[in-house]
Amino acid sequence: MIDLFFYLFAGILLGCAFGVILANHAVHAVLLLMASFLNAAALFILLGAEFLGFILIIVYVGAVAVLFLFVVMMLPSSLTKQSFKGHFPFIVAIVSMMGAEIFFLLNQWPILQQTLPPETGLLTTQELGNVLYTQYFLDFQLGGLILLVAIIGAIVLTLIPRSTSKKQKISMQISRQPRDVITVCSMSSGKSS
Amino acid sequence: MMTLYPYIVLSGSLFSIGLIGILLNARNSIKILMSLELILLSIMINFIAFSKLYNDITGQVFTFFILTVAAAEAAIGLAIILIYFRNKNSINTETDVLLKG
Repeated sequence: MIDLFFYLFAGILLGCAFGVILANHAVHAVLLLMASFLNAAALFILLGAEFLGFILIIVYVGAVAVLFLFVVMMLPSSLTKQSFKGHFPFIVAIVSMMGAEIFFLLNQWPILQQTLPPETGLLTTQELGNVLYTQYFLDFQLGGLILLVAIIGAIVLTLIPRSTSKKQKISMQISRQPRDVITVCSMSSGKSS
Repeated sequence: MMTLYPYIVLSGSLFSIGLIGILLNARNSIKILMSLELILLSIMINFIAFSKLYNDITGQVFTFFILTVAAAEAAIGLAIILIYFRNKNSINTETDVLLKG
């Protein structure tokens, strides 16, 4: 039964992946990318990694793919249209040659013929949390730091400073010289204005 | 029962598809980023399949970190594409050669 579902999801995943790289419109490519992430999440759940499967749906389908969609829709469609380079057969030949070599090597590798352990029915989420917050705690914190850097980097890159904003420019305040801003003028006394 | 073989074949095929995508869409920066996501997905499937085979949770932990880094990479890459488009009115990677080597 699990075999059947594996081949179903794997087939859809490969089909959607081909669609992503061959789609004519970038919007179609992003939607197919969403579909392939959904199928990959199903495969993760079949393999007993249900936490990562749901995280894949939440983070990738919910955030990253929507971000892609947002950027694709901001750009004019003439830029995101498909424009294949001329040597399509050449590329496919080289990559399929590489793939054939990999699969030839895979056949020589006895570990791949081992059967996977049966489904235990236990949830791995708790197990993952147990190691993530103890053994891999520093790595977990570094992951958060990477996300923080990504947030700040994306904001700094795309920010357009408004010329009308009342922002305090400290360097300009410090470099103010009296002779640039103070005018000494002599007033004659005893006169009312 | 299933062996590990189909999972590794799936992962290798997905990696090859992503590689074809990068080579094929070498002009289009957004398509290159999407192909990179496919390649990272294939690596994640590989890690989780081996994690299942050895009954070791470490593969899933590293998949978690791959996911984090891939999300950060996508955000920064798309921001760079946006600001590139704002400055150059184009996202073509072949005609807009900045580094004239």
